Amino acid sequence: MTALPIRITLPIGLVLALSLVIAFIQYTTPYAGGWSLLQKVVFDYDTTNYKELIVYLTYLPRLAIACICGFSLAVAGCIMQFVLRNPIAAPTTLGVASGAQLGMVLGVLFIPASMTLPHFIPAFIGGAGTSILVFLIAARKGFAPIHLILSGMVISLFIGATNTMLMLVYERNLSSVFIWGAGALHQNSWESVQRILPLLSVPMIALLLIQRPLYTLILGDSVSNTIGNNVKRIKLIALTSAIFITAVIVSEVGIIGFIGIVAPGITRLLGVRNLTKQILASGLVGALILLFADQLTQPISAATGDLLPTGAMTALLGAPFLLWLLNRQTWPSQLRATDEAAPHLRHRRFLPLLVALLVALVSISFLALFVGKNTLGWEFAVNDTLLHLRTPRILGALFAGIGLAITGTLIQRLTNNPMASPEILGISSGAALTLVLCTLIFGISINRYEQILIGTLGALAVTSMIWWLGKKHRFAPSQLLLTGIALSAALDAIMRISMSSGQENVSTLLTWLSGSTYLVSYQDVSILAVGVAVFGLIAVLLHRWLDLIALGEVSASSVGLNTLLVRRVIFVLIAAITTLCTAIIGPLTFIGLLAPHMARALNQNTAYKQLITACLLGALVMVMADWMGRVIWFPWQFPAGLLSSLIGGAYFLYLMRK
Amino acid sequence: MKCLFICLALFISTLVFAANSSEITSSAFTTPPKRIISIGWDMTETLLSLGVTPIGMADKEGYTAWVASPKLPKGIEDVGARNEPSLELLTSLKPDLILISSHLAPAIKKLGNIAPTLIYDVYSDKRTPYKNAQELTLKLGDILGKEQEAQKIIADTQALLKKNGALIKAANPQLDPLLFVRFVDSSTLHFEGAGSLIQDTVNEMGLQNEWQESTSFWGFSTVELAKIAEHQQANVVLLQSTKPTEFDKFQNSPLWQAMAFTRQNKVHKLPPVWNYGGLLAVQRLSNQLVDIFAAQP
Repeated sequence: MTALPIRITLPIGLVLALSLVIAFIQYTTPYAGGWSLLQKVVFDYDTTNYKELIVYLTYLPRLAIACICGFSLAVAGCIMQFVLRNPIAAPTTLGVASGAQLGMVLGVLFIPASMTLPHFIPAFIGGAGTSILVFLIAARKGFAPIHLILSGMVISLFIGATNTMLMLVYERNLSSVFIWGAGALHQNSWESVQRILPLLSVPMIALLLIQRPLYTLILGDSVSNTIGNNVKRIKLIALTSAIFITAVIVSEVGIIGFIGIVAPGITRLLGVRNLTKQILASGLVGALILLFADQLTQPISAATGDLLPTGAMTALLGAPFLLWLLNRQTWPSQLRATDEAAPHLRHRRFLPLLVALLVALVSISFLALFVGKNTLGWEFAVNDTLLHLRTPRILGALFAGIGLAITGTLIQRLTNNPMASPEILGISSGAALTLVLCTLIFGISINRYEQILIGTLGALAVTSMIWWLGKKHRFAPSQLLLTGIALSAALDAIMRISMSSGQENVSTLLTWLSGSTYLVSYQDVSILAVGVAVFGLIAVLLHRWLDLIALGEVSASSVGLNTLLVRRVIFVLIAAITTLCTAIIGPLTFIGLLAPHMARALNQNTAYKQLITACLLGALVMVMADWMGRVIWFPWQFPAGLLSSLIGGAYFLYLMRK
Repeated sequence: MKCLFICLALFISTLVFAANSSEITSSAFTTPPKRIISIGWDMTETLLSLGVTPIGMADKEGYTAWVASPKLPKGIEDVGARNEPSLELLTSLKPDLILISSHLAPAIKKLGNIAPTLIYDVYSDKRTPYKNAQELTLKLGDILGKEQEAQKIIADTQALLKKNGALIKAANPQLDPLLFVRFVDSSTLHFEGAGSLIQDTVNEMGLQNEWQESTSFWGFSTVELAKIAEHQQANVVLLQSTKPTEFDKFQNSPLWQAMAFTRQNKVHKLPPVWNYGGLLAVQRLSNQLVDIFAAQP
């Protein structure tokens, strides 16, 4: 490829970024004052001059906050990735961000207006409380990384769905939450800096104290135990510190994506091996990245005349950067989710389970078809018009559930990563992203056909992009995942920017993004059904490949599998089904993530049984979610995607606790 | 892969041919519709201003909290959220006209199966909400057989704006431009500007809006706090905020205290008014401005 190796280009890039930051500060200082005005304010502060007041109370604290947040988030991300052994773990993987958001939302809605409480407090309680919940659930399995990550993700989904539902209802009261959610760094005093600095110093010191025993974790839990470390306790302290740091930052300034994932990754690419140095270097890289992003955001913001939240901009700027890094072919091979302990497999008979699930699915479908509500209460209806309103919804939910469960199983098998889901591959994000952009650029009146058309085109564009990027890497799982993450981050950023800029159509967007069956017609259903049936059947027929590919490249090739071909075929299947489901019911139904795990939790471990079980579970949960979303809050209704995250999440947590 | 693309291309082309759109005028009805369901709040407000009570509307609670005036008559059915009103309830109410904003445009086919559906937006790409509100009034007047009422409301509003503008100018000939500010959180503000009902109203009254820079679809800009220092000579008019106490605390901050408008007592609070509404909201806003600026010496 290119001539210079990454070890050289990256440091050059960092130095360049630093000098650009210095140049930008000259340019972004208020009133074109440049460094001289800053100097004047720092050394000879005149409180009567309002220009100096603005610099002192808004500009300087903003610089400070950017450095502190970048540093802390990168440190937290570094610890998370190290302890959880997953290169795509982020500081918010264990549920801090969604918890803090729930805290914010509840704080705005239910703390009486007469109480002046800084938003930091409810947000922090929410974020910390959520993480404690994650710990409690994972405690049983000795804080094994996989269980921590899974419970963190599921709790995030669960709380995230609750948040979205609250946002749909109380959209108008929550404009401050939208601004916060996008991570706006602007300040109006030194209050934030004063609040977070002392809070952050405690976990930082704790991390420095435990760095030596922490480093032994790299040997694996059992070896580390035998050389006299209490692995469980060390993990707990390290994760608690990282979560504490994240919760403080998120509660104070909002959600700043990407830095926690990318800064530690860059540090590893730079070749820093020692853990302490890695932590410090990540911190510095993180501070530099956030400062750079913030300095870049300010002139863009000034030019467009709209406030651009830095947190979201970071993700937006970071996404292409991550893609560029991916293209350099140099991600070290350790960037793979590793789960060292051999899974403890139990046997459960397949047929009785299959029958039970089928019976449940059929009864729920009939319930959903015939039982509804009217203004007087529950009703049992066999009336033609009502049935015609309900049938496409139910069938849409059913087939989308099946389709997403298949893609989820395929992608988790293909990448061997439990965090993988159709959403994370980026195809559905691509669809959503194109749609959101079209909505923002061409105004809001997009009809159903344009919606489906645009969604499909977006998904296709992303698919071809992943295909093109994938060729170079022979469809290596980690590249696929990271590409997806970059794209999803970009979508998330644009969503947050548009929500924080106060677009009143937030709820419309949220509804579609959350997997709604409201608009599904008979025509949609027939397309979906045929597609899911065909591709699903192919997937089931290929179940032997799925069993083998999960063994890893070497083992799979040695038993005679053409891994490249298999990956390509599976990828095409995933892309096709995801595109279909996304176009018809929207991108963010997390059933694709949950259903395969639920099937595993029911002890269906071979690809064949897992696929079938996941399909039935996916369909069951989606149909139930659609029905509940329609009747519980009648006449209000909530998208099936949200309810399925709630139902599926709750059931999955129950299975994990068992 | 190629096969996949071909399949999808076929799928897309069927969709394109199936697309359709609808436009409704009074000629579509032999008798004016009586059972109307209005999903948008601006629609509900305009209906009430014409003396027509819808049988159903979306998000009643939200209307009461945010639009407040005109008060809702008894007996209007709540059909659910504005983004996804319950189709089953809509069907059972047997409406003969449904009014929606273009947010719901993707659902037009489903709604059209229930009753003729009219799409209209006060806030649209044309960015002329006041003119659009007039047009909406005329359109509904035409369909509902209330042309005269519609004409009267439009004329009344126009006259009221002229009168109120003159009152304010008489009381306050040297009035500085107005800056409409909504406090979002302790360091973020919304400024109302071009394309907002507020700016249209203020201009019709012959007054001047301070914020002239580009704005969002909804006619406001989200700005950081420091921006307000560039507009210290303006009269600051504070719009209803969801966090009144936090704002009160913020008012004592050194930054706010240093601003010229604070020192010269040029900060005013506006009572709640729905600035995404129709002509009645315009009337209310202009009356409130008179209370603030014509009462002052």
